[in-house]
Amino acid sequence: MNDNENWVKTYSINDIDDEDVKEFHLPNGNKIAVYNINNSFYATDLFCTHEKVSLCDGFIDGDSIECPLHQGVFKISTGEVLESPPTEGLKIYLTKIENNFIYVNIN
Amino acid sequence: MSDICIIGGGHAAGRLVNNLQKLNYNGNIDIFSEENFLPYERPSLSKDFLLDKKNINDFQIDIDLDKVNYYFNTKINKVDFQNKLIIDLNNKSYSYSKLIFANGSYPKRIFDEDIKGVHYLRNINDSINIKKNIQNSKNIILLGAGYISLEISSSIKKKYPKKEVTIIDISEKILVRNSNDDLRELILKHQRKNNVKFLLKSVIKSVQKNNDESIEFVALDDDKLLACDLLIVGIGVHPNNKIIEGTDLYDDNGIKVNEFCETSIKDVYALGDVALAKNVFLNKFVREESWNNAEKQSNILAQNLIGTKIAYEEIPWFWTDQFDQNFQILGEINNFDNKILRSYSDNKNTFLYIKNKKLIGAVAENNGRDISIIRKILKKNIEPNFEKIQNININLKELL
Repeated sequence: MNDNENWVKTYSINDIDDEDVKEFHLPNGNKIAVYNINNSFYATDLFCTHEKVSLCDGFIDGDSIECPLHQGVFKISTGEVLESPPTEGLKIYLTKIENNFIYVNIN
Repeated sequence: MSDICIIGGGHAAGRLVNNLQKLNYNGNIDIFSEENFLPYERPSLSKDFLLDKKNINDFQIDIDLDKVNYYFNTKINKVDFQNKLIIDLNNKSYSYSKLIFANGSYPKRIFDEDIKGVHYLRNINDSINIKKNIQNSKNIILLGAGYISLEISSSIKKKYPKKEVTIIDISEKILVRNSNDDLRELILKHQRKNNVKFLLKSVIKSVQKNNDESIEFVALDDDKLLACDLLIVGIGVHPNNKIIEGTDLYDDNGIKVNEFCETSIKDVYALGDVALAKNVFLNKFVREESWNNAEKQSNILAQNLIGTKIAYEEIPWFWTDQFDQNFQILGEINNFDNKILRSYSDNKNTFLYIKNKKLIGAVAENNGRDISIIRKILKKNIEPNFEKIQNININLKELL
């Protein structure tokens, strides 16, 4: 493991249904959202960059998540804003699967 | 001469320029704004800006000023369509190739005169003044039980729970426009729980002033006096259509445009609050005063101006945030013949409205996910299975 890797074990790949998302609390107190999109797993910050609301209550449509509050849309794999009102992209985290568990690099 | 000339410097104008610049539009753009601020979005003015949780940088619209001629504090009051000229208050004229009306609306007034302590909320300066005055006021009265007043009452009570806040309205119900009884009940529950008082079927007849000319009491039509040191008036807006009075474009309720934001005069367009626009979903002309309308029409018009003709096909949608609750209103929520309530918990509900066995709209309390799905159902014109909708254990996504 090199210095810019700090992998945190999150859920089993069986814990998250396809096209679903789950909230996870990191050891540093930050909250993230872990997604299963067609058996590919992604992680982003939990809260929308427009208002502090959990994206886990949003609507997943393909590779995008629509915020439940004001319907801003982010691309899950890159964090980029696809539809306003947010202007700032979503922080994303690298993921890897080991022994059927989803690991997230928090560095 | 400008290639594109925009009258108005609000959300719709700013987003139009932002979209044109994203599309690499290279023509000259003139913007005439009556304000001394760059364009900004308005929803925060009654909420987070009032609560000092956001500042203007958080909702100002990003435009490249090097590529536009921005005229601040400039009111255009005449248009000569024949000669393609607009004329400002100082009689200075500017020529245009394409003209855009994005000049919004202005608040209806209760009194013609300006009275110390009586405020209206339309722009950022209004919000700054209201914010300053809330701090020093004990008895705050909001006239008009519309969305603006209900959001302001929520902001005040969140920050100052002990201040007296009373909402007065001439009607027997709150939210006379763009609402229904289901939504009224949901919203009233939270307002009352937070000790906002309501005086419905009441009219403010006059105000009584202190020696320093500031407001002291409001007098109701039954002659009852209410102590009041801050009166915020939110009784609706008028579209800024006086500028075209006497021309073919004039309509009492705005500037009429088709679904492409085009008026009946070539090279003249309108969007945002001032536009009485053909709504394809509702199949009628509507003037929407919403963030979504300003945001999405500006995208359509930008594309139309560069030659990609696209119709505005948005389903009317807006939100209101009050007391940390989010309410969303989609499509037609009146004129239904049946409805289904999906109640997930006390504060999480979705009402779906049906007419002739077709879904026509929805109201959601803290349930934007349902609204996202219902919007897709409406856009795709899917005939939903109402038995499934009634079953709370079935995810609405299954209907897509």
